[in-house]
Amino acid sequence: MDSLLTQHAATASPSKRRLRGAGDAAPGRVEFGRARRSGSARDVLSVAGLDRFFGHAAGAVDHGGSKNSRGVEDVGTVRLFVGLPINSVTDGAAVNSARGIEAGIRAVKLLGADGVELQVFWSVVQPESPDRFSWAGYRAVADMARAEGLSLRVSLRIHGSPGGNVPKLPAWVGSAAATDRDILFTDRNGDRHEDCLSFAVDELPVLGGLSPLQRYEAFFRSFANAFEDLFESTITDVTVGLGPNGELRYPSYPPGSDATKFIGVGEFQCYDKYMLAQLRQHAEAFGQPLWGLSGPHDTPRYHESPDSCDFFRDQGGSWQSPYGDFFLSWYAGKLLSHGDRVLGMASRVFGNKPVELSAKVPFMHWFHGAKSRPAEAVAGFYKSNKKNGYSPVAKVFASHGCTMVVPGMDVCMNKQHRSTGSSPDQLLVQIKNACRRHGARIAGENASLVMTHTSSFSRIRSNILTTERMRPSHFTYQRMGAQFFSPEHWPQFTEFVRSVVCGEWDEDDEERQMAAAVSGSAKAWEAQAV
Amino acid sequence: MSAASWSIPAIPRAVPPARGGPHAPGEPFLVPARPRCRAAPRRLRLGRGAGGVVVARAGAAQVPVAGSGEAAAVVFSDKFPLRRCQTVEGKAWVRVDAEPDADGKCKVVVGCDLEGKWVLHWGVSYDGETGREWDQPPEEIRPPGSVPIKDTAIETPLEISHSSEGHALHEVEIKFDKDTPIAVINFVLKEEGTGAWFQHKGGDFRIPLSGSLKDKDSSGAKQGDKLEGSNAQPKETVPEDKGPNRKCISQFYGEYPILKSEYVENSVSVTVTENSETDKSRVEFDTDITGDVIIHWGVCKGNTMTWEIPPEPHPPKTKIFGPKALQTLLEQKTDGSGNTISFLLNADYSGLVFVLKLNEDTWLRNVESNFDFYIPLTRVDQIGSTQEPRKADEHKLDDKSSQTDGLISDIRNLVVGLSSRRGQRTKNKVLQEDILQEIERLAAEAYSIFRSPTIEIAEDSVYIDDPESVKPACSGTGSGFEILCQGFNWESHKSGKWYVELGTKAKELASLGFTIVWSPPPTDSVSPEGYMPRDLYNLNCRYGTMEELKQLVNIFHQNGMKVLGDAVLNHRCAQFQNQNGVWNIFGGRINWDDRAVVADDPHFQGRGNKSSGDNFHAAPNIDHSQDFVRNDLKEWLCWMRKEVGYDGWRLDFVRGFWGGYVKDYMEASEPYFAVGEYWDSLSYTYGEMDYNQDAHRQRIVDWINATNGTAGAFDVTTKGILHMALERSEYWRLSDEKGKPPGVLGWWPSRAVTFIENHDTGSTQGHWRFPYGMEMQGYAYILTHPGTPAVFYDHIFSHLQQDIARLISVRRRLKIQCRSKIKILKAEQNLYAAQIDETVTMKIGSGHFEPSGPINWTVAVEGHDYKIWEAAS
Repeated sequence: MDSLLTQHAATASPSKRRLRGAGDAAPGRVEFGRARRSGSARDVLSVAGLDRFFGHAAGAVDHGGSKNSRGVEDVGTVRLFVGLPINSVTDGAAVNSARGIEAGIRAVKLLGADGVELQVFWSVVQPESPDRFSWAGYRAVADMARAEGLSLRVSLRIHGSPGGNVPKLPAWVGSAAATDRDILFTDRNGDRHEDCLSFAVDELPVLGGLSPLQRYEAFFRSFANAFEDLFESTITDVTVGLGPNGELRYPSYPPGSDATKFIGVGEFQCYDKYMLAQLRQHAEAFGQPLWGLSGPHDTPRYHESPDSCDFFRDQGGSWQSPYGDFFLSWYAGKLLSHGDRVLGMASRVFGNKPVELSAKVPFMHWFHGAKSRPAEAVAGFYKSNKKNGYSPVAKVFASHGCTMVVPGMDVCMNKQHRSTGSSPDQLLVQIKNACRRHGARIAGENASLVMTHTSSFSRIRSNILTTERMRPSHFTYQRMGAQFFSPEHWPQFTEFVRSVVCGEWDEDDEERQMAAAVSGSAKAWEAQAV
Repeated sequence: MSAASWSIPAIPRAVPPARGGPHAPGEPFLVPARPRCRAAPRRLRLGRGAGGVVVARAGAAQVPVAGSGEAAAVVFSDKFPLRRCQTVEGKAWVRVDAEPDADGKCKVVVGCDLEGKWVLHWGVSYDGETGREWDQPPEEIRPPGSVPIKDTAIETPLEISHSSEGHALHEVEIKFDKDTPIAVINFVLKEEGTGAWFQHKGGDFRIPLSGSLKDKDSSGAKQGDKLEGSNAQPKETVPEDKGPNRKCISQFYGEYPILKSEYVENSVSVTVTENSETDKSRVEFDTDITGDVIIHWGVCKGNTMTWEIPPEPHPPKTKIFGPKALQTLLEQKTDGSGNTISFLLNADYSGLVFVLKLNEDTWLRNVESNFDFYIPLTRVDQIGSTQEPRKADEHKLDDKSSQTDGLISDIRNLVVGLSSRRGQRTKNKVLQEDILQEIERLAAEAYSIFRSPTIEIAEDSVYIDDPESVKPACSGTGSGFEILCQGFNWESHKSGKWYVELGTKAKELASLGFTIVWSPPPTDSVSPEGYMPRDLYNLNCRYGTMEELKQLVNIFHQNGMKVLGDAVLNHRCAQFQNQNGVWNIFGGRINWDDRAVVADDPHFQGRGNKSSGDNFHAAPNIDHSQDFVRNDLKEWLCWMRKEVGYDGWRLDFVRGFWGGYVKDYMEASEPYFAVGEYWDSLSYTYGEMDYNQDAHRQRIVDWINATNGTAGAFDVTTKGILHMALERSEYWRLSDEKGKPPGVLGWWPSRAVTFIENHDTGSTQGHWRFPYGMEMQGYAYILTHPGTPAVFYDHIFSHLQQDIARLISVRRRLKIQCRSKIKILKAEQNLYAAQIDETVTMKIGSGHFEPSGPINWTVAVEGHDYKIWEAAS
């Protein structure tokens, strides 16, 4: 099982990008999809950027020849997506609130977004049997995006999602889990995560004679086939769901709770029999068979403070002991090899498609102050030998040409309880460093709708419009719904998008000249206005 | 430039002079279409692919060109309005005549020698008052023509007199008793033509009279300065020194310079002619501005707006200004009527950009775009070929995205078609606004859809209409089995005795199965139809006298029908004008004044609160937020219930005020049945009615909810959707996304009063007429569906009567009521079918349909494109 860092030769080449619809292709645009600045009118045009667009349109006509070189710079241009409702499709065949989605898509298109993001659930596509896929509902949504000329980022989700009436797992997977409860993640109490298959069974034939990985692959391939025609025109990004909430992590939150809302330490999830068996095996190989009998005994409960038990104590906690290192390395390694397996499979499936592959990591910024990084540790990110827990993950992502989606670009320090030692800034820096070191691209999402703290919008803006090298390749604002369009949120969001779209344009000189040319008259006018 | 076709000059009160160059009448005149136009054809190919600018261009016109003997073709000719601000200096003066005249009055004269419509805005302060507040001057000293403004000031117009030199003077005299208690007269001057105020030091003028001059600072010696208007220092003051502490009126005269800014309108004409022999363009400028005029100009190439200097030779009297511009002094015309110049330019420039300079401080630019003038030097049609023709195909793409793309491609076309970036700013702004509005609309639509699950929940718990139990009658529903007849049309007032005529039909209406008749608005009214009520207690109107009305109600009651009165509560016409000449003083038993009028309608100068709804603009809108108004209206409604015998109300224009007040009125007048007219526009996208009208019906439902369900509302949504469904054979519109009826009747059937026509939509007004020939399908729908159906008078007394009668009889026989259950069976292109309760199945549309299932269905009624079955018992 230690093949986790195997290099996959045939990884998707991130630079193999297609041009969007033929009519759109601006001459000379060869790089990376949709560089907003040098793109065609259709891509560029947005309300906020209209004035600016003028300059570039004119420029494009004049210096068409110089655009190839410019395209390279533009690789870093952030594409802006908006997430579609998580429950856009819940029964495979029909679109919920179709008219709303259509209107919403059109609205964000006019606003200047580059695309929308659609969560595609395994449980919705294959609800009843492993042999039947129903794509009609998702297809209809994808067609709406195409009709508007928007890009589509598809998030393939193999684990359940809290809320939104989306089934957790396909019914037939559920019944397999009913016969063998241990294929589900299990905590120390023996409570199961009904929405999440254990990573330990990835390659075991527990689902009707096939392994989950094979089933995932069938799901991915079916998607690739069903949407074959859209890969050239609409689908620009495929995000592979690697775990709960689509993130590469253990479901370290209490079973049945909402992964997105839990900010406690959490617990290790290694108590299903398959995980335990692997732990035992690993301990024996390590020469410490006693270490493999169970998980650590001195960890806090889900909501307890990391200091309440010995394991995560800053001073002399067991995490620093050889046992701690043994266990945490193994635990994190299991996560990593799961990620590697699924990404490897995904890059085989989508390797020949003109899409940017990406996957999401958790943004566990709470208890970041504690030396042991307890929240990260139970989620499977182990800071070993002073190495950032995201570093090996970034390496795996890079090896598959996979972009790392960081879902916390809106999180501000002031929003967090200080008691949890949260440090979103540091965490973001660490993730970026890890990605830069290993050459993985990053992309962003927001953790939640920005309802109260508009400072979150400026935070997103600074995160995605940064001039540093680790500029996200795309940012997805999550997510459309009633609140999103509510009068409390929508105007601020509009403002945000306009500022982002505007902010991308450089101040051009002509503009200034023009101002100068008329400034004399402008002044005269002001002076005379009584 | 062409910008004028869709941009509105932002400067108020200055109408641009009529434009249009010297093109000959009848010549083809290329005018750019509005790029925002949403009607088909949506995709305008504005200057399609043209590298040149979209311009207004005259055909071969008679242009005075120097050397016009050449073979010259006019490339461009236009006359641009110019507008500049000019200040006129004048003076104002204040004179206090301390000596009483023959009547024993002293007087203050305020005057001004500038032209304009001057108004003195003034108030007084009394002895011992220190605050800054003014009081209204006492009646006796107000000059004639004064108009009170709020409670603190009045406005008196200055009158025109003529000075000895014949100049027009504006003066006003205020006369007062010598022993007046008034300490100070405060004023500012206002010029109504421009709306400008003239103050001093940002404050009021003060004319101290007497009495208050107790402290030394206010001594008479300083009175001249005390006319606190020191922004402009008095030019001369002639105070009569009366010494300190004298309490008498001081003789005084003071003058103050005033500066008034005016807009001055001029124009500049630019003509470009092409000279095929010399391959040069001749540009001619001509302006009616006198004095020195300089054009500050440059030329540009291609699509750019980069100013550059053309090669020499330059026109005479040209200076090079900076690296990019030239300044050329125009030649004064010999007759002194302006300036002109004409010079040749190489033809390889695409355009000329310029602004006018009058002096160092005065520059004039394009009034319409608020930017530099842009003059194309090349013909538009010559440049068109430079763009890749490929773009054209792009537009044939998808049709699904046509709405968004239509808009976007409009913009793109515009963008592509323009070379003048500067001149087009305004257009972009307008377009941006347009897109933003579209975005807002879409967001609102999305919002209404995404949040609709909560509506459903509310609907189930709050609005619930339980068909199992017949609810007790309430004013929102009546018995639940009501069938309404609108007992008049737009012409009914003409006979002068409609009450009598309608009375003769009472028996017939009752026998047809109607339970309620809606009678016309009964009050004294400015308009004969009754919807502009004046004296609410005067019930003699064009429909008949109050006695006849009482008899009418009586007759219907004898026939077992209820009668609704048409109550117009939103607005009321005034009987009298206030001092400003505005009609906002009411008469009759409810003799309100402007306090009863909402404050936010500028036409009627109300002093009430802001309106709680939309304004009806033709008459003063009543401010229902005030107790006295509501009490008077309640009393009136109760009076009509008692005196006339009305059983309930049809409430006119309830959009105009909050539904909560209607609840008040209903609870006070306890009607048997009430229905409100909440009529606003459905959602359309590019002229196409949207499938989802949830936002529209939500507004109606919100109103009903505000009335607490004490009144129903006309189901305008259903009417609108029926229009589309029938007219265009789009019967799928008749089922919403949840498989329910798409109108109010799908959400709150017991409060939905369905109708297909009324006196406004049909009759002789025809504002929104039901698709002709399809009325019976409409009635087949509303008379079989839940809700309370209303049938229009014109339809009852027409060839449709028998068909309608059959439908009504089915409805009554099968006991369909306002809360009946409905299940939509089909909603397709040409067919709509539904089952109501367990007893009725209906279909409309040309498509074939037969009910199936275990029930044995027999045809109850059949007609053109509609059919109704009942369950055989």
